[in-house]
Amino acid sequence: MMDLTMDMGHRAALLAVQAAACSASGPPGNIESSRWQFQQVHSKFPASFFGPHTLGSRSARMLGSAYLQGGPGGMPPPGQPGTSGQQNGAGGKDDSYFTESRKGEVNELRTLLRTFGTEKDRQRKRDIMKKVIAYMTLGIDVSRLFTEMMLAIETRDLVIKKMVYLFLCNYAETHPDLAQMCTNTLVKDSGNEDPMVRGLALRALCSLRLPQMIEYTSEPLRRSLQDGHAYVRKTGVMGILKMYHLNREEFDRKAFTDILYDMLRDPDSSVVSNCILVLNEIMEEEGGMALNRAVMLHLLNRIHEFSEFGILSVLDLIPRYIPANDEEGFQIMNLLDPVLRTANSSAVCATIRAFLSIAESIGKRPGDDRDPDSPTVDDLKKQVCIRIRAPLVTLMSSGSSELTYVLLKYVDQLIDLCPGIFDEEYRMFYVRFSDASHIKHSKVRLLAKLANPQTAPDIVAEMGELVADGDETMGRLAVRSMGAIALHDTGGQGCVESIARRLVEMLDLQVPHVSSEAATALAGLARRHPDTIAVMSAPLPRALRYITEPQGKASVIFLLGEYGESIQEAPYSLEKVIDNYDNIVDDGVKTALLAATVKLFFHRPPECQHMLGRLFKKATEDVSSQDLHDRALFYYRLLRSSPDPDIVKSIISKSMTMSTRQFAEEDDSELKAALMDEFNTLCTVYRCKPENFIEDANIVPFVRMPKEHPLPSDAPLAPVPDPGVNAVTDQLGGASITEQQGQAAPPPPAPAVTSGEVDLLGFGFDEPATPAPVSSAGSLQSLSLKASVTLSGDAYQSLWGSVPDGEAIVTPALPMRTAPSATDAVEASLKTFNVFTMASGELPTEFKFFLYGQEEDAFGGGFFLIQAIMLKAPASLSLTIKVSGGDPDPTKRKEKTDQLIELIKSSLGQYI
Amino acid sequence: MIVNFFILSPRGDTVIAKTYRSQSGVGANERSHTEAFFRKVKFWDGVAPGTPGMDTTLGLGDGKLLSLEDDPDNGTVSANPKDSKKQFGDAPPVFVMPDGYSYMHVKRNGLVFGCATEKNVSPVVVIELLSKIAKVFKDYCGTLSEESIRKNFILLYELLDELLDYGYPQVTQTENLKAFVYNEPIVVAPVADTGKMINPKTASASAVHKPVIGSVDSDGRKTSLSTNQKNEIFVDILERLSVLFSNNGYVLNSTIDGCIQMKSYLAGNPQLRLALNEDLAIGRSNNSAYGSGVTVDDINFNDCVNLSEWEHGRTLSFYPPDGEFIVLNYRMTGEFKSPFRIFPSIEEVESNKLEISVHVRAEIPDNHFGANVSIEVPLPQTTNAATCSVVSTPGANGVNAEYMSQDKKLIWTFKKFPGCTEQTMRAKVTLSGPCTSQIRREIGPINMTFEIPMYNVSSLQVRYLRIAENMPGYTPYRWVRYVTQSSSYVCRL
Repeated sequence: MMDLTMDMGHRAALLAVQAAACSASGPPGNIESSRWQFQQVHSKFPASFFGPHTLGSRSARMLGSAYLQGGPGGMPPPGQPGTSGQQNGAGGKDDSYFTESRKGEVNELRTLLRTFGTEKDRQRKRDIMKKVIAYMTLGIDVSRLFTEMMLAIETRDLVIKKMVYLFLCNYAETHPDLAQMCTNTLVKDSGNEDPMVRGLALRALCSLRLPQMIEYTSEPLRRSLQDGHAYVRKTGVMGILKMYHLNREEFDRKAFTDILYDMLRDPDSSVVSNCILVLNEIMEEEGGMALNRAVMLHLLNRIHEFSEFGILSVLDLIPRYIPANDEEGFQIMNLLDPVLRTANSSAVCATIRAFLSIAESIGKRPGDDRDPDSPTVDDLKKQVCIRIRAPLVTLMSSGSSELTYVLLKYVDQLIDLCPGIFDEEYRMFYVRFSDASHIKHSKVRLLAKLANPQTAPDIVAEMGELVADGDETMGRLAVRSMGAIALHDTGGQGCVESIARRLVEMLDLQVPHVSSEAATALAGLARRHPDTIAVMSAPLPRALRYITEPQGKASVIFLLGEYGESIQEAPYSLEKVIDNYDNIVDDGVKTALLAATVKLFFHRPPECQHMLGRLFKKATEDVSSQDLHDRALFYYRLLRSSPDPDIVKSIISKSMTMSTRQFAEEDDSELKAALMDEFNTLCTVYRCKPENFIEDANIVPFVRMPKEHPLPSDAPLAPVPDPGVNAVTDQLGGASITEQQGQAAPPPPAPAVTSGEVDLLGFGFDEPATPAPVSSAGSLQSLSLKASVTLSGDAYQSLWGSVPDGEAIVTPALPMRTAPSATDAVEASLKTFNVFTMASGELPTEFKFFLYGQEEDAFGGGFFLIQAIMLKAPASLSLTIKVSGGDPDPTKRKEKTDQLIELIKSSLGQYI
Repeated sequence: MIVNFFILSPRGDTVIAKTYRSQSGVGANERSHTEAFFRKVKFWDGVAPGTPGMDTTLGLGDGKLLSLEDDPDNGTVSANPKDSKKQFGDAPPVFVMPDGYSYMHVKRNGLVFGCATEKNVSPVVVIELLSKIAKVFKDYCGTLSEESIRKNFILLYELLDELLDYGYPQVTQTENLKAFVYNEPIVVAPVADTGKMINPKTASASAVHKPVIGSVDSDGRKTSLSTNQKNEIFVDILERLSVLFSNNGYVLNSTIDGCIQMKSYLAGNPQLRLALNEDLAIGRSNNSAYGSGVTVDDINFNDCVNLSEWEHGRTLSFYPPDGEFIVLNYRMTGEFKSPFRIFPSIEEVESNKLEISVHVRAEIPDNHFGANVSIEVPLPQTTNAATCSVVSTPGANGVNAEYMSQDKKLIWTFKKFPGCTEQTMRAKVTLSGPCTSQIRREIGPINMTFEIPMYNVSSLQVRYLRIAENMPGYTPYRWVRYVTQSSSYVCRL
């Protein structure tokens, strides 16, 4: 929008900007290029940042504070290590401590470690170990102590054992030979009688990241999966994942996947959630683990057993599962509803996604002749949004600031899904004094979306206050938000004008960023609501003088060019800018100036002729911008070569005003839909698709499981009903989903579903087999089209444009027996059914028709606008229908549209 | 889920670091990646480079900003990081770094708990996980500070091993972790911030700095859990107020965010029952019938809470988990009595002289008082000098008002602001130039911070807190506190 407004007034430019806007979303390759940038930045670090001296003293500081009691070697006390070390040289240390290389420290540790075997005091032993680990975590390479450390691995003290494991895992990758030496100990430990030790050893063994060790690890892993202790099993399951990433062939050979599926029945929920996580990651390319009804219900029935993070693994599966029927969908929702009352924000968000996905699966779609009372997808989604509104806002306001930020983004996306849903909570989105700036900015942007006739006066007043905020970005965003409210006219009657007046006041405010933003907002406003020109025209010439920011200046120039007719001083203001051409730096301003002057020339030729000439000279000689140069030449030649100035005028002064259409930048319904599939992920925060910020290899596609999942009769996956489990569930007051079908038998499809599914395929493929006009006539009773309708081309276009693409009904391609030879025959046969042709044409591969018809009804005649495409080979027909006016009841509309489709099909009976 | 985890000190040093997935050979303790991350957080420039279409602070991801940044020679963007801080504000908790990973972080007590991920994970889950780690660390160390973390790093690595495996959360409940932990925490004396506390009664439950397991003190002496541990429970009813006044004292917006927070050191971990006002109504729509009752907009509960008696008796039952936890959160909007009313006025005495007076009235009962009250009035950048005088009623304690020439603002503080009193401050401000309407706009908004001990605005009450079973001779100490705090208490000028 911003780019557009400072642009010239013809369609070509508009297209160019659209293209630019598209490319702005950018290729993922940019991450690659920026990596280079990153390294550059890196090398610019001040030397002291990495300097060995700093490092040394830092390590000393850390050690000093970490060991007040001091080990045998004695450490300088905390505080100013440099001076204190110098003064007392505690424990035989002198000032050389800080200049000495790190080698000395490591050697000293080695000496200490050698005394380890003879040391009797447990605490002293631990302290020696701690020291080694402390050095390690500081980034000092202590890998030379590997042998000494491994000697300590045989101990009964778990604290020491854990430290040795930590050391081992850290250096195994760089010292594979040494690490291999201690494998035996680890394998032995993984058979220890203490489950704690077994688990620890197993985790260490799998974390070594040594491919050559696979042969040693796979056996203990397999054993661990049957271990009696859940801790070991849980660790073993994660170990499988580590092995998978290390060596896939070995992984496949061991058939661990099947074992994991079996383990979904494990009595311990932490094992189950690990299984789900591991399976999801292993089967990433297919979108995650395979899922069927039995598994899903089994997991859902146990959902109350899971821990706060474990529950997420189950909740995250739900969006990929399509409920067998509506009832099951509602049962799942009822089961999960109590989650919304908890303060566990991650579970609440996962539940929201699950709910929206269930709504998507069980809601009625257009073209679905299910019970007319059953709710549609959109109705259900709206109900879901209403249900989750209060809990989400509570989480947002009670959580940490980090959580607030992320949840604001979630709310933002849900508003896109169901506009108006959060309007009544708008006060919760007021900027608070204590908010961090990124939260404030998000709130200001969000508030604009919450405006409706009731809330707008308050919101606009609040924005008006924020404009003067000390934070420049806040001021800018507040102006933009006000502009957005006016642009979308969500504020009710008179709102547009009152905002326009406020913006005009801001022009005179003498704060550079505010007046510039106000000018830009006004330029957008003038295009969408041309009647606001009257309010803003007077101060424009004066604003041009003191607006300094390029964007704002370009906007004012655009306005002067576009509406210069009615502004007395317009040419003279522009002339001053032209006289000052050499001082303009910004290309955008120059381009806007060129376009504005040319436009104004046609309205007020005598005043503009000379200045236009001067501008052409300047601009064609200007080498700073190729684009500007070319445009100037283009205008110049156009004016010179054309015999009839009126033709040129009609091209150039085509108004950019677009009171009904959407700005190209705002038409992002496709992106919004894509983002909705990825709700509750980073996409929601960044507002872009995963491929824009995630490496291809790491993208997990969102794949729903097929609707029915027939199980073989001996399916190993059938859930084992566990009375104990259900008892717990009942006790917790949670609803339990009853298994309707036999445990292992494939669930027979419910009849309702069958009809629904067939219907989804749409408009009956069997239908054309009996294309009897009689039968269709029977169903045509309620639809009667007017016999004579006239519609001009422009009216057709604006009607078409007024119906959003989202509301259009698109039929699937309908096979035809033959394609028509010419458009005339088709038009004639359609006309007998009162369907008229606006335009038609033949393309190499297809015929295209723009058809229309007007209904005779109580609502003053709704128009049907139809775009029909007939492919020549293979012959097929697809229709896109938009309904404008007519019966406001969506179900009636749907019926009528269906009838219309039948009517068209029957009229084309000779081809279909 | 996440590839690494790290804790950075306020200066950017890595205190704890762990790598879960190998990042092409970058070791856990190599500072390079955390250092780049820290610089990014500290000097946030409004955009994550190399991420087109990303959420820049200016909203459009417009090429303008990016191009300016790409070209360091362009004079319009100052190289001074301070300026960029001012322009772009604080770093959001989630952003992409040039290495292609998304970094997420939470800040607790000045420490940065951060991690990176290569997948398209749920940011809420990761933020929650990081907060949880911070909470667990606090429960085990007693306090959360750089020192306590450095001293207990072995314990924390031990905890971390159980909290996360290969980047996935495992055992995250404080009490469940006890079984896996063998190290003992070393207690660090909390940073003395008692100067801020006027009354020990206002100390919140979070001010209790005791690790959940037996610990050693800094001399290495053991403090046994059983002998030293008192049988006690701390309950806080904490309300944070956000109120916005117009310049004539009219309330434009008001919200209460409340919570009931607990810290239990009860022996044997008995089941507790907590009862709230019986007339508590939830949801704004159904409150019209009851005029007298307390109405909250919404309420949510901790996972551990059993709600079977909630609908009828407004009673909760639960087994308190170890450590600090929030039993429930609630929020209220709309009508409640603001504890303080602010009445500002500005008079132009001469063209470059202003007289600002601020009048504050405490509308709380006279047996209560506001503690640590501070009122800030931002003045125009062109302010040359300002002098303040205060008119205080008796009972007001530690009153001070001064002009901070560096920040160009007036600060008026009270140690104690008694209820049912009125206080006034007058300031004479001299500007370097004439006061235009634009300069006039730079004054304000007035921001007030305070704390009211043993008082809550919403009149939500804890009817009782009981141990569910009748255990003779079991007499725990109960510390129940009501505290009202300002979250955003602002008056427009």
